[in-house]
Amino acid sequence: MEQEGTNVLYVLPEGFIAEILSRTSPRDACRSSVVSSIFRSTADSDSVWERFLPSDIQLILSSSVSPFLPNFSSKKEQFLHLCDNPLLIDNGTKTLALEKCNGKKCYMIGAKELSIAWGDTPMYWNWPSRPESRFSEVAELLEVCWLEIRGKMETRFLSTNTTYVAYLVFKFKYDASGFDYEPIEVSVKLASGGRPKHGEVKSVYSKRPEETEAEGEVPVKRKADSRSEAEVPKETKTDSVPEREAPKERGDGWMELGMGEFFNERGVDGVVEMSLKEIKVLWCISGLIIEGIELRPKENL
Amino acid sequence: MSSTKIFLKSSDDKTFEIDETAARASETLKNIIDGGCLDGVIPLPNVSSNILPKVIEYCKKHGGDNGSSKKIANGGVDKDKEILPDYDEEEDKREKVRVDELKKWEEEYMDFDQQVLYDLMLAANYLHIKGLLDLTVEKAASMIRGRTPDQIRENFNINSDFTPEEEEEMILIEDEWDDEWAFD
Repeated sequence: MEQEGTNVLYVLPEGFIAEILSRTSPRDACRSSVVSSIFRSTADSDSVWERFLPSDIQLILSSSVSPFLPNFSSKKEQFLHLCDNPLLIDNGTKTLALEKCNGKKCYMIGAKELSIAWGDTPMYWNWPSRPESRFSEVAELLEVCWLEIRGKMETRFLSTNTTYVAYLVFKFKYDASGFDYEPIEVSVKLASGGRPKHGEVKSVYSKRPEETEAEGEVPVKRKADSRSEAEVPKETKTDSVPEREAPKERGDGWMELGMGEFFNERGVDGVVEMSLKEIKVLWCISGLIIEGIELRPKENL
Repeated sequence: MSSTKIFLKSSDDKTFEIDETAARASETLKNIIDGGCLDGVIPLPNVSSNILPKVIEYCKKHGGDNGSSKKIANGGVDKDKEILPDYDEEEDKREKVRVDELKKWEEEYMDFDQQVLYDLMLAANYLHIKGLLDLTVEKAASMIRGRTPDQIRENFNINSDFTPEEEEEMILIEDEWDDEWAFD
């Protein structure tokens, strides 16, 4: 800001510029790379980008089962790849991706790794593989009157000092029914050292957005609507009871429903448990496909 | 507090006095002291008399604990805190007051122009004063965070040294990035 100031590049060795840039963020580093040629070489350097990668990245990569992992020419390239291409880990039961703006970890626990009530009973749940899923199998609900899904994750794998939000990632099939009777109960709680620290139970809507406008107590079947299940409307309206959450489009063909959040401070030996249930009314529901539960850092800058 | 005095000589031959406890905030000085080379003056050929008093001021404030705050100071006691659920609330409050006070001090301490920032950073690196290095690097990082390339150039007095063609390419890259990030 001061006009008479000194050009930083005459004073500080490049190592310092790298140290300074590594304390900013991936986004800031990218912007810095157009400042000048020295800034560019530093802002693109491995010494800066390895600080944006999780510290246990080598361990994660070695446990990856992703078939086509390119040979990265730089840490920056590796970072950006991991932002856009979730890495299959733990024998393909989970994926890891990085948040582009801050490098924080984002996990998805595949349906197979969740405990789904009656999930093993072929009469109720089917396990097809779907091309649009990152996992080899997804859970397809045929019909059930007791919907209960639980998942857990050790907090030591998550980024520290970070508020995470858990989302159920799913979609409705064209013939989905039974989802507009009762709100679904979701909860996320952090259990560390045996005592739950933070838990909340809230109810959310699960039903398809286009049905929120239809009154009626009977599930409204879309008449002669040849809409494919992948094309769910963009908007999620909850005009009727606005304070309750409803599912949102993810942009990858799936929808997501917020289940709750928790703050992972140091990630020491805790477990976070997510659950979702609709067991009060015992209506029969059907036509739901579950990809998994995602744990994603809450939006921040 | 021990009152043993240490003498430091700046690059421009000026001598400054500092308490031994304060001097130990610097890893480099600590090693010299522990190495027993205490007679006479410690020459610091990389630190000028403009910056040395500023360094000494920091060391005085952080003498003994190396600037890495509370935790180390009461060693084992702190570990018990983790296990016992009902640790001393009063102690906690005092700690908070101390931390707040230190933040305020740091804010005032760090109020200087860029040349001092760079020199202080170099001195902190040379003298291995981790707390001070962190503080200065952090300040420089805050001059980049959330800024546009132009603002960064201005903050650090840098001129773009790209050729017009490169410049054009840069602008494209920049736009591309902005679009990508905006999507998040």
